[in-house]
Parts: sequence; C-alpha cells; structure tokens
Amino acid sequence: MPDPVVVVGGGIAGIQAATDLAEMGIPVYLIEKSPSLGGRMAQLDKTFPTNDCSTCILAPKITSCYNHDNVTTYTMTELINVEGEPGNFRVRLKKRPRYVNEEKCTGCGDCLDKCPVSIPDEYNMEMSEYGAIHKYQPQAVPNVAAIDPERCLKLTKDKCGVCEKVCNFDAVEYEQKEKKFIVQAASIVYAAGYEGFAGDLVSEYGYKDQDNVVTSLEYERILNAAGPTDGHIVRPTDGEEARRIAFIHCSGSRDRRTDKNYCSSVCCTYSIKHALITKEHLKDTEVDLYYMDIRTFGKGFERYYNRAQETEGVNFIRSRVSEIEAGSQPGDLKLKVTDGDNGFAEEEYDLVVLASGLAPTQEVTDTLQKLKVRTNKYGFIDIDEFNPLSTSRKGIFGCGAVNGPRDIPESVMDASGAAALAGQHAVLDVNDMGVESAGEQEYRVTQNERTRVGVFVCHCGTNIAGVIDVDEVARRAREIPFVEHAEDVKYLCSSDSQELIGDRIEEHNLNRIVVASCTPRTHEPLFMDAIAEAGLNPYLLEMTNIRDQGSWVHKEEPEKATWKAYELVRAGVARVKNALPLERGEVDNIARALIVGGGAAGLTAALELGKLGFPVSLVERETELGGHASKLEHSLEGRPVQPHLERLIKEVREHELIDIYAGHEIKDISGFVGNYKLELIPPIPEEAKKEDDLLEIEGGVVIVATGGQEFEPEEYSYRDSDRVITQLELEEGLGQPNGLPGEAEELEEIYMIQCVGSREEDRPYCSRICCSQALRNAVNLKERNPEAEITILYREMRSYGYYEDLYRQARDLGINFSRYEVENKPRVTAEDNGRVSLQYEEPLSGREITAEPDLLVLAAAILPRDDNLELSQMLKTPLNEDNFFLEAHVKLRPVDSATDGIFLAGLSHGPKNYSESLAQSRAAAGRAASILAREYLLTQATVAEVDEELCIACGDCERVCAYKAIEVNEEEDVAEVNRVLCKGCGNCTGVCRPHAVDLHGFMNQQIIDEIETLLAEDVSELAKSGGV
Amino acid sequence: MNKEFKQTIKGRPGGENLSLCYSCGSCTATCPVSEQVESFNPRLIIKKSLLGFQEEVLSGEEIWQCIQCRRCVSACPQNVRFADIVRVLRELAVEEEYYQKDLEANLDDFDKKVLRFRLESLEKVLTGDKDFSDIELKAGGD
Repeated sequence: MPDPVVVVGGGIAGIQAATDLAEMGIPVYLIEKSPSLGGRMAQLDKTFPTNDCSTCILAPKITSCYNHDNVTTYTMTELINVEGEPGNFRVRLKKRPRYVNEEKCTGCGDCLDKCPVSIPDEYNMEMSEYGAIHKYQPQAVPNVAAIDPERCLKLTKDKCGVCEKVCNFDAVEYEQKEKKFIVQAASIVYAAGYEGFAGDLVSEYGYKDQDNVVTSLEYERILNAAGPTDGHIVRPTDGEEARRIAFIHCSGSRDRRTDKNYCSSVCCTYSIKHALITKEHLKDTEVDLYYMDIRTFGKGFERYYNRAQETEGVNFIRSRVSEIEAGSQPGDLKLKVTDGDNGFAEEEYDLVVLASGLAPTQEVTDTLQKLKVRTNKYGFIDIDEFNPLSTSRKGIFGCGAVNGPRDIPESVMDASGAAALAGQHAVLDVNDMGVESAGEQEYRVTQNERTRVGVFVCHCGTNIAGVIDVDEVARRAREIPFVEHAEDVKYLCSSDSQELIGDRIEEHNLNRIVVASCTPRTHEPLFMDAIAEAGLNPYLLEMTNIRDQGSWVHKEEPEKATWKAYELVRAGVARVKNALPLERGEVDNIARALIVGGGAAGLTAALELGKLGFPVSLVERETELGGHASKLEHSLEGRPVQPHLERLIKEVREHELIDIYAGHEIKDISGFVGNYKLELIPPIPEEAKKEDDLLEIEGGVVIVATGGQEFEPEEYSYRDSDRVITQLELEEGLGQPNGLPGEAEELEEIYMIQCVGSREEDRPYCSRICCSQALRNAVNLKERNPEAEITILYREMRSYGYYEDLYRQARDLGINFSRYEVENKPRVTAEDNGRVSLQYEEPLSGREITAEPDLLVLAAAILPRDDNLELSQMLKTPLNEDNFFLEAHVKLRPVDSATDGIFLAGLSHGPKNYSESLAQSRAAAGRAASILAREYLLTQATVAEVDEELCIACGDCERVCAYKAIEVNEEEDVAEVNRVLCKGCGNCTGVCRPHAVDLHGFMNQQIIDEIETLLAEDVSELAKSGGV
Repeated sequence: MNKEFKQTIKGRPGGENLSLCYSCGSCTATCPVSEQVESFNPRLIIKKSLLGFQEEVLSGEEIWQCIQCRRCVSACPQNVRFADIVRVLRELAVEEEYYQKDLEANLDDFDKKVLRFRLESLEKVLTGDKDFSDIELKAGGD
C-alpha cells in the first residue's frame, strides 16, 4: 500500500486532487474546515460559459470522492502544523466538535425546524437564517447536521435540548470535545481556496450604508432557487423586483489603494454570466456593466461576451465607477461614472452588484507561513513559473485559488497536476498499485425462480410520512401482482434497515426489490450494496422517488400524494419484474502512456509519468525535441526559457522509463481506453522504405500535446515590409545578433498592434497570451534602450492575474498605450524606402495620430495546428468550433477529451502561456496515472447489446452514438457494441428500427411495462387481467 | 506633438506618476468641476499630456478650472495624482508664457475669497436671518 497523502480543502480543487490520488491507489485524508464538502463552487448558482447549474455538476463529483474507498474525509477539521520530511510528514490536525454523531445521523432533518434559535446562514452569505442545529447546505456531504456551539441554548446555558429529544438515532452528542490527532503523510496538497473581497473594501461604493449594494457572491445566492429570495431578483431593502441593475467590474481589483493591484481574472466573465442569467429571469430589466477592459481570455469566453453584447441586450459601459451614493428615491443608488470615453455622467439604479475579486483568507496566509511555504506580496502561494503547483517547501503542493486568482477549470487542472506531483512521494512500488479488480461476487441464481418482489417504503422521518400515508402505500403494494412482501420502515438508509432488507430477502426468498424513498442519485449505491450483501445481484433493484416527486412537491394534497406514491411503486414493480442480473466486465489495461508531441507540454507530461513509475512512449514528428518553446527567448516573468527547456529535455532523455520516438510520424491510431495502438512511420528516407517498416506501440492512455501555431498576418503590411514582424519573431530576434531590422538599442520608435487575427468575426476567440507577451517584450526593449518610444495599440488590455503588475511596470517605464476599435483599425502603409507609416485614431481625444515607426510588432493569433482535424479523426475525439481539441467538460474535465483515456495538454487544447502549459501537462499526467494505476478496467454493467438475429446492419446506431461505442461489422453484417466505450445512454436503442439493440438495465420491455402501468386507467381491471 | 512633454511633466515634483494612468476615468467621474462643466475632463488632460499635445494643454483654460479639491487623488486606483499634475501644468504654462506669472497666486487668493464668502454666507444662513437664495453672488471678488 502506498503512503497516504493529505489534501487540505474540500472545495472543487481539493475534491479533484483527492479523487485523482485515490484513483491512483493512494490513500487520501481529505481535510475540510467547514461541516460540508463543496467549497465556494457549491455556493454558485450557475457556471460560465455554459450556464450549467453549479450544484448539479458538482454534487456527483463530491459524492464519488466522499464515497471513494481510498478517501477518508475529516470535516470541521483544520491543519495545525507539519513536521518531518517529504515521504514522512507528521501532520497534526484539529477536529472541532460537531455535536452530532456523523455515523448515526442520517440527515433526516427532523431536528432542524425544532431548534428555537436562529442564526445567520453562512451558506447563503448571511442573507437568510437557519437554526443553531442546521445542515450547512441542503445537499451537504456528509449529509449530517452540525450545532453552532456559540448559539446553541444547551451548550451555552444548559437549556432546551430539543434536538436530542426529537432525534430518533441518538445522534446528538452535546458532550463531544475537540480532538487533536496526527496522521502520517508522504506529501500534502494544499487547496484551501479563497474568499471574495469584503463588500466595503472600496469604501466609495457604500456597501456598508446601502443595503441594495451587494457583492457578487451574495448575488449568486440571490439568483439561486435555493437561496434567500428563492431565485427572485429583488432588492434587499424592499423586496421589489429590480428594474435597473449595475454591475461594477474591478471592485477592489487592479487597485493600488486596496493593495490588490492584480486582476482577479474571473470577475469579467462571471459578471457577464450574472448579466445573462439576470436577463433570463427578467427580460425587461436593464443590465449595465461598468468595466475598464473586458477580460474574457478563457476558452469559449469571447463568444460568451459577444453573445451578451449582440443578442442579449446587455449594455457594456467603459467606465470605472468612482463612487455610489443614495439615489433620489429610497433604496435607489446613484453612480458617478463617465459617459464611456467622454466626460462626467451619473446614473441611477435599483440594485448594484460589486464584482468582488479573489483573495486568500488571512487564515490561509498564516497557515502557509506556519508551513514555511513562501507566499507572494498578495498572500497567495509564491509560484515558480517553470515549476507550477510546487511550493517552496518540498513535498507540499498547491492547487486552486491558493495559487492565485483562477477559475474552476484552471483549479481542476491545478488539482490533477498537484496530484501527479504529490503521488510521486507516495508511490513507492508501481507493482503495488493495481487497485481495482472486478471482485466478482457470486450471487444467488435467480433466473429460474418465480418472480418475488419485495417493496420497502421509507418514512424518511416526517419527510415522507408527514404527507404520504406510507402504511397505506405498503398495504396496497401487497396487492400488486408479483409482490411477495411489502412494508414501511422509518429510515431505510439507517444501518439496521439495511440488515432488515437482507433478512426479508432471505425470509421470503425475494428476488426483486423496489425501494420507495428518496433519490437514486445519492442513495442507489447504498441499496445496491444492501441487496448484494444478501446475495442478490444488485441490478435487481428499482428505486422510486416518493420524496422529491411526492411529499415535497405535493405537500398540500396528501391524499393525492399517497395515491401517486402507490402508482410510482406499482410502476417500479412493473419495471423490476423483468429485470435481469447484470455484471461488469473486465478489460486488460496496458500500463504505458503514449504521448503525442515532444514540445514542453509532452515532455513535462512524460517526465511526471516517468517519475510516478509508469513507462512512457513519446512520439515527436520533428527530429529535435522542444517544439514551439525552443523559439521563446524569455518567459512572461522575464526569465530565460532555454535553460529550463534544455534541462527538461535532458531529464526526459535520461529517464529509464521513457522511450523517445523522434522524427516519427503517426500513420494511424486505433483502440480504446486501456488498449490504444499507434502506428508510426520511422524516419527512413523515402527510397529505402519497406512495407514492414511501420512501427507499432501500445499503451493504456494517449496524451495529445501537439501544440499550436502562430497566425501569419494578412494585414498591416506584414508581407510587404521587413520592419513589420510578429511578437514571436521579435522574441527570436532579441535572442540573436542581427535578429532584428536594426539593433535593439538603436530602435527609437516602436509600435505594437494587439489582436492581429484574434477576436475577429472568423476567429472569435482571444489568444490569451499576446497582451502579457507584448508587455514583456516592450519592457525588455525599454530596458535595453530607455530612450525608445514604444506604443502599444490594443483593443482591451488583458493582463490578467499578476500580469497586471507587468502592465503597471510598463506604464511606469513610460511605454505608451492607446486603444483602437475593431471597426477602426490602425492603417499601415509600406513606403518605397522600406519604412512603414502608421495612422490611428485615439478614441479619448478623437485625434488622428501618425507615426513612422522603426519597427512594428504584431501580436499574431495563436492557431490550432492544420493537422488537428486529421489527428482528431484518428483519435476519434472531437475538436471545438475553432479546431482546438475539445475537453470532456469545460468546467470539471478540462484535461480529459470526450474519449475515455485520451488527455489534452498545452496549445493543442487552446491558447495558454508557457507556465500554464506546464501546469496542464502535469494535470494530464495526473489524470493519465489515475487510469494507468489499474491492472484491469471495469466496464459498466448497463451497456447496449445487439440481437444479431434482428440487426439489419443499417448503421443508424453508429451515427447517433456519441462515444463511438457501436459500429457495424461489415464482414458479419451486424452492429457490435464495445462494452468499454458504451456509456449506456440509450441513443442506439431509440433509433433502432428493428428493435435489435437493447440496453441492459433499461430494456425496452421494462420501460414499456412501466409506462403502461402508469397510464392504465382502471387498476382493478388491469389487476384482474394480471397485466399490471 | 512633443514626445518630450510627458518626460518634462514626470520630471517635476507632482508629475512623477503621469504615465501610470490607465485611462479608467475615475478622476473625471468624481470631479465636481466635471459635473458642472462638460468640457473639463481630467482623464482627457492626462491623455493629451501623454500624447504630447503640449501647446493645447498649456494654452487651454482647463488647467485653471481645477479647484484642487483632490477628490481625483483619492479616487485614483493607480495613484496618478491629477491635482498635483495640474499644478505642474500650471507651472509649465507660466514658464512657457501662455499665462502671466502671478496667475496662480491670484487664483489661490481668489479661491480664498470665495471660501471666505462661503463661510460668511453660511454663518448668515445658520443664524437664521437669510436663506441661500437671498445671497448675492458678485463677480470679481472684493
């Protein structure tokens, strides 16, 4: 067994890191300060740029992490200190008392509304209240209550004690004490998250005095259906619907006065999200965004911005808000602004939302100090750009917003990368790792038995029984054909109820089970385990949700709710009566990673996997390793790139587990997760080639790290004058003598134009790195020749994160900045004497400016490689609309492709800078390791199956399958399912005309039986005919 | 256009931070003069100075309209200090002989008189014998 890793923080970053480590077979202690996992993401209403419901995408991840065999979760627990060395840390922890026994509490909620005390609801940003005993949030994981010791009457005054009295599980324990304990750990992943800026950080915005000024996190809760206003956008002062709303970008960010000169990176896009959701709720409400530069630099964000502007009627006003005062009517707010590029203006609003930035909490900064982890001037972890995710202390790794302001996908990438690094300390013996085997259990053979269904109806305390007459439902259920036994149980999820189900199975020789309770989303695994314990195949279970779809929504009509519950049970019986026992399959997994691309991204991924102990085959088309990075002179922080790259190449070359195939082209790729095969064309001269020269390599996963390319500008006289070059050419030129038209020291007037080929109609994405790259190159030029006049013409300065400090440094050095509009681009003419002349309109003064620069540098777009399409077809994994490789989920699976076992790193996935590419490559290694660590891969049990007799090989199924899991075998004239790839979505069964494809667990007959039962008008008639 | 102009301003006490401006407009949005006079626009004066429109900036009357209340200084997220830059520009305007040497001193003197007038009027209103609408504003100070 490898040594454990401690993950500090149970937000999305910590959850991802813990899950990846656990999947590698490493035991994890997951430490969370609050009573529930989920962190900030659990407080968000929707996520950009897809407007997915945040909780809906997060909850399954939390549940699978919390339930993972290798993860031990400690909630209400904090890290005190760390002693020892990497590989052998002693981590001292402190667990605060919850005053509720986590094992006994079932989360039934019986105690919650009995508590006589009301305290501010932290989850709802204190805009509503809950009891002194409360669940931190409705979907808390663990689903357990907690008591606030400072407000509980029992704990403060030894009075009350109601919660203990009403609890049916003896779960309330007032005598609990704080516990201190030590765990051993090989390494530590620190993912403690961030806090939003305080609302009163910029005092001019009047947050303290004006109740209708709210922060962005407060607005998330206002938008949320489970929030304090039930999702109605109303003003806190009078509950009136807001008709005019202003969003104030950079509320505290990019501001020297608050000591937060950095850009918080996420606020622009989340404010656009707020604007769009607001418009969805209230179509006619005026939504105005006040901004300085819109920084939608992430993947897909520019399109989101364009949509808000062009089709959703959101107003973008280029002005920083100087102050907010009381307006002319009570509750109204007056903003002092500028009229876009013009002079003074004031506007009145009903509601103002401050786009508050991201900062580390004081506690995080203090803890880092105690851990001897170096922090930067803003209190975030100080990151080495060539060694991202590591910290100054060996064996401690950072991920998520402790590494600086970043959004969810970047935090998730960080997490997988940190897992790859932390795992290197934990994994001692790669042969020791195979964690998963099918563990096939022998189940009772039920095929030839008469169908005997057992029905269990749950009270869920008063949650269900308070509305539905559960006794009546169970009584009626006994009359349903095939039902052998039915009973109602107070709490089906309690451990003695699990035993009770087992006893009844034995007693009545039951072979199908219906559980009428809550949602299968959280509880199905529990009941599957319960019946498996009793020797029954777990797929002979059907759950029907009489809580969410019964007692909760039909509170006012208990009789009808009882009838509906009965009907749902009847449908469940109809469906389960023909259920078949199912099994998961086992496939061999080849413990080798195949990496396509030998640039910095591929090299980094290879090295990290090698260090984790996995064999790697690295394929590079060129004979030299290094890729695009070999052209970079200096990093964005101004450090030389080549020494780092050379060291990386050397380490990869010397690593015994890494095979390098340089100069090899890929001819074809086949296979699926666990079993990929690359056909390579070795570097043999054309005339010497023979048939059998092709080389085959095999592996369990593929990492795509093929890079990108620079756009060749078509405008600004790039092709007509030697004095017009790209930013990359400037970097290359700075590195060599005579690399530029004139020595860098002699160039007196230099212009730079941004967004050349980016953010345009036919390429509507931001190339992300060009603003910071231009700033870095300008600063370098200025340092070589302080007399040089350098002017950067930009559309929006996107120096996100700490690059804002670089922007300030550039201005401080006297570099000039002027904006231009896309409709009114600078005009450049190549003159006969080899020089160029440039004209542009400066928007603030409205003046036409002319210049004759010695050098004109174009920030050319980053393009996907021309051969991405060909590669994507070979890999059977899709590209996005801009031809970059598409991730499986923009928010939560940013490194996974849509195809299992294929991962993405670097520019092939989208524009990003050197350091970000390194971080993503480490993440790809972490994700790949979580698959490579398994000896076998288990297939799903609920997969499609083809009846060969019925199949006409029409290929309809193949066309609708999103996972390439079903294909027509031309030789046999029949469709075949790949059980590894099939996700059981049912698309194929829907289109199959001869009904040849059926889905295990969701068979056509089962669903038809279920529907017919629900639609049957006269139950007694039907019962008589025996066809329920 | 005089590209040296911004260097000249940055070289004088009070003008050092001129080029830190990122044109956000906080100064203009908070300025009580801008609220009254549309043409008075601190952000634009800074931009013109950076672009090198020396003659236009120094000869124009805008630099004299500033009342030195320094709201722009506290509103500026980059500590550009427009109120101090204005004083540098006034100095330069006098040196370049766009305006008389004693204009700044006279203006300070005038501001003091306006302030005194304000305080005296306020006293009258507070002691109850007048309201503001009765108070006459006479041009020309004394």
